[in-house]
Amino acid sequence: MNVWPLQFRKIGENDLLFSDDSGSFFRSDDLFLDRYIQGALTHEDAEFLAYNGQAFETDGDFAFSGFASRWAKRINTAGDLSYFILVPTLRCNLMCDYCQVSRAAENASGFDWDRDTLEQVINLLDKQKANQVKVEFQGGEPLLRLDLLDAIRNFCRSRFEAAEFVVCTNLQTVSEEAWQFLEAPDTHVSTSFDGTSKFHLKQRTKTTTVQRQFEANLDVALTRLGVDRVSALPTIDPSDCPDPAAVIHAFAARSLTSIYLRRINYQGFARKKYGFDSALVDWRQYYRRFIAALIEYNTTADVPMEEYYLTHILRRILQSGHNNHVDLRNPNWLGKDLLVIDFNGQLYPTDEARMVSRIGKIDLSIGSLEDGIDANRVATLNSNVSNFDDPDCVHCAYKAYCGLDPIDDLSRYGRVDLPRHQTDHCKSHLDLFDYAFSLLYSADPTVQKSLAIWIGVPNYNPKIAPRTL
Amino acid sequence: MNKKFLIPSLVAAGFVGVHSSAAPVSGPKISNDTKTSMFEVFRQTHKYTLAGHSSHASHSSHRSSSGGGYKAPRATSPTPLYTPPTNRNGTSTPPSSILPSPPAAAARVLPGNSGAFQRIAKQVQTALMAYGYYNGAIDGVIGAGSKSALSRFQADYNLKVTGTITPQVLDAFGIAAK
Amino acid sequence: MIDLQLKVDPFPIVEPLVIRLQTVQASRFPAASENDAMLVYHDENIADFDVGGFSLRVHTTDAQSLDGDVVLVTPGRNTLHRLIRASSRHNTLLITEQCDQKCIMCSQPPKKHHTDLFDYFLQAVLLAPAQTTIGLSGGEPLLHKARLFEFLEKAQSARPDIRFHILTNGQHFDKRDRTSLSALNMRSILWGVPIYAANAAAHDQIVVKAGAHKTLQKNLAILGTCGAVLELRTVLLNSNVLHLEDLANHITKHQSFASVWAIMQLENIGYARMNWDREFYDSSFSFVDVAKAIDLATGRGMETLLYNFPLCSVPSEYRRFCVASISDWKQKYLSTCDGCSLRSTCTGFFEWYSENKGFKGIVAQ
Repeated sequence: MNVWPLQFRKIGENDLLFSDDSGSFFRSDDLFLDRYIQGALTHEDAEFLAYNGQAFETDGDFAFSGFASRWAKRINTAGDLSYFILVPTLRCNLMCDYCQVSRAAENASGFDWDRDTLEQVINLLDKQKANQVKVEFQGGEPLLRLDLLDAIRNFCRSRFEAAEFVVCTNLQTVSEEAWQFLEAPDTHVSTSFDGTSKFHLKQRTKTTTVQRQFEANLDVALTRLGVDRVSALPTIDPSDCPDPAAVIHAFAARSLTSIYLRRINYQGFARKKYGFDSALVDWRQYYRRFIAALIEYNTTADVPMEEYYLTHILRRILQSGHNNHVDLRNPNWLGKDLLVIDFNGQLYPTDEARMVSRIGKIDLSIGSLEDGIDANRVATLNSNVSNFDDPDCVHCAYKAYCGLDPIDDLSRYGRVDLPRHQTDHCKSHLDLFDYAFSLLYSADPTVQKSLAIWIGVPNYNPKIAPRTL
Repeated sequence: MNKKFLIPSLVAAGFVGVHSSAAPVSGPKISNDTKTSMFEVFRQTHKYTLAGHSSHASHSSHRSSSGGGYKAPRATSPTPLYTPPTNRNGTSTPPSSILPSPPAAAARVLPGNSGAFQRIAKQVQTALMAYGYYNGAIDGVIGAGSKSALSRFQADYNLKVTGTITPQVLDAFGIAAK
Repeated sequence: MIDLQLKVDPFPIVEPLVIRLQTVQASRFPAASENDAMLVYHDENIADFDVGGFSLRVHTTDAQSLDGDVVLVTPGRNTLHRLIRASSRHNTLLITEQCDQKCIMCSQPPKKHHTDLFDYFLQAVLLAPAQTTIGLSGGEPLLHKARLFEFLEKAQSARPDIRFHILTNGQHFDKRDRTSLSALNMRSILWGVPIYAANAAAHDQIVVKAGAHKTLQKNLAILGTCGAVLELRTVLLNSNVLHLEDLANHITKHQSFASVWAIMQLENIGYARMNWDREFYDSSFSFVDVAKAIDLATGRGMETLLYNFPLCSVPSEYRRFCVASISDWKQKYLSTCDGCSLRSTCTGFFEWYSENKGFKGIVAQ
């Protein structure tokens, strides 16, 4: 019998987590590790490994092809360009503490697409091979340029077999015209809601009048568009964070079922105002408190709730082929299926890359509407996007589930070649995976109830997280 | 952008550059004897969706052929008890757009039958002529002339008017169908 | 029940004949084909279709319902077979009645004799409505795989819009078939292959063939690596209900390339009728083992579906996995179903389902 190479990591007091490149994993102990290293696996060990899809008899047999398929599905292939983040204007009618991209004043000029830019964007969309497209309007505040949004949406609807639109708006000022635009069934709203009125006021709206305006609009959005087409994302300051239960209830009161907790991303204005590195420990503690509160909430809630990123992590662990557009892809191809078009026609591989460039750290643009995509720059960026051969990742038990984030490394450290374990991305994800596995192996029925919800099954079957003996 | 950046270039940020890049995806070596690699095969499969996937229409059909089969043509079996169709599934005619015209490559329908058909058709034409309904060619092809003759004959003899050769027409002329 | 065969008056043919019936005068088939037979006369009991000047007299009370149907008329037999019903999405061609397995729940027990109808099936497929999915079943279709592959290749090249759903026991592939398979458009063929347990002995006992499980594992790998779109099918039995969770694990590990796993309730006909008392597992009484299997397989990302499970036999939280799978022509509802709010989405029961031997927990919802 041949055993696929195993990586391992300590979890819990006495146990080890073993995993292979296809993402199959199990929990065992030091004794198993000794037997594995010494090539002294017992008959029972062998049976277990075969049962768990981590061994094969001969090249090409059914266990081999089963493994190959699970492995292959985890690899992110660079698909056709089909996701566009468009920034029709950089102007905004709010000035949040931690604005992610040095925004421009509402009345400033020179921060919007002009007619030519719009035409070039449409030409670029028209050239795509994909027959479906997703367009996310970012800003600034995109609703300040409803005319541009409308032009793009109309074009995409006629050009593609399927088109989906997301408007990332602060919902501060929404005209009746804008509401009608947002009401279309192919259009979604993504907004920021910092968990509770108090924190949203403190971090974003500043005055109660503006705060009331926002909350009223959020309620209108939920009523007119329905909860399925509205998402609200809280940005959390680890050094001053809202009570988890208060956040959960604020979301539940609005029938929102998904919370994507975002730690303040220290860029833009935020970088100047806050410290840089100290917050990770605070954040971990807060995140665990939050999930614990969520689990408690779900034990009795009629409509359960998830934390979006934890759900993503759990599904990355359990399911081959669970990729979303942005997070934890491996290889994390840049400038392939996703493209950001800035207000000035510059092209970026991700929204974060736009921000890093915007604040003058490093130019991560990959071209412009004028000159097209610079293939050489894209190729250079893509030289560091896979963890297969990263010397720090090859022995990591979480390799199959994780993915690199060179843009985040750049924004924090100005380099992409730091030893992984020194980066925030690696540290925070090691911690997240540790936490996710502690949940998967938890015998607590309340934890299991939430896990079932997040994984998308009626009941949690503990066999999904195997252990030897 | 004529902007100054803190880090002047991608190389300065530690990107190894394009030449050493294109790191090939490494992993289990898979032997394949077709042109498509197994990797691509599994990726394709993953992306595949079936027609009507929204309702699982395509895998919703429980196929087992119990009772749904047909007897081999040479087997003989008693005539099944006739029951009218229940039509519970609806009798709505499909929109014309879903009914394609037969492709040019369609097999001819009567390859093995045309001889028998022609022989009987000639007998019918001859009979129609003898009865004074037909004066066209005895060619075994039931065209417009033959059809018109058949209709008039059927009407005069109180048969169902179909303009085709029916069992009653054959009976009336005493022509054996075999 | 919808009739798949209809009585016809004697028709002077010497070889089987495939024709498409048409009832609407305004011809929707511009290139008037010799395959098309127009309705020329009908009353409340019969319908005459013009086949080359001859009346094909079909006994039917609803001539219009036959519009677009592709039928097979056979010399010397007084019935026609509706090979493809234009108004249905449950069309299946029976390739053969021969089989090398004798599954204890087989709904169509094998017969020795085989008649090759591929040429007629090909004609029928060419006449099918656009985008139709056509089932190919048996018996074991792959017992005649050279003819089958030839049929598929011709059908796909003439009608690339047609999809096939092939039910096979997966016993008859070998490495040499890769060439034939790769010549096909594998994306428009769904292969339905039964697997009853991860445990070889349990599986072999159910299909009554020694070594079947081993062969199946090898051949599923061949299908998977040829890019086959795979539907794994597991009929729920007393013999395998306790194996179901292990099977879920097995499939998610070793047949992870499959597109869907269908767990199916028993159809009480053929051998299944004979073995009903021994093998029918009343899932309305205890669903635990099915539930564990669904939870494991779905949690690992395998789409899992329940075929032939009436909704009330399944706990409400698992009903979303149920599919209205019973083909229209052999589907029925019970008197209990009158007034049930879930009836329109429920699969119902097989025509031959017997209430007194069936589910104990059938209740209108």
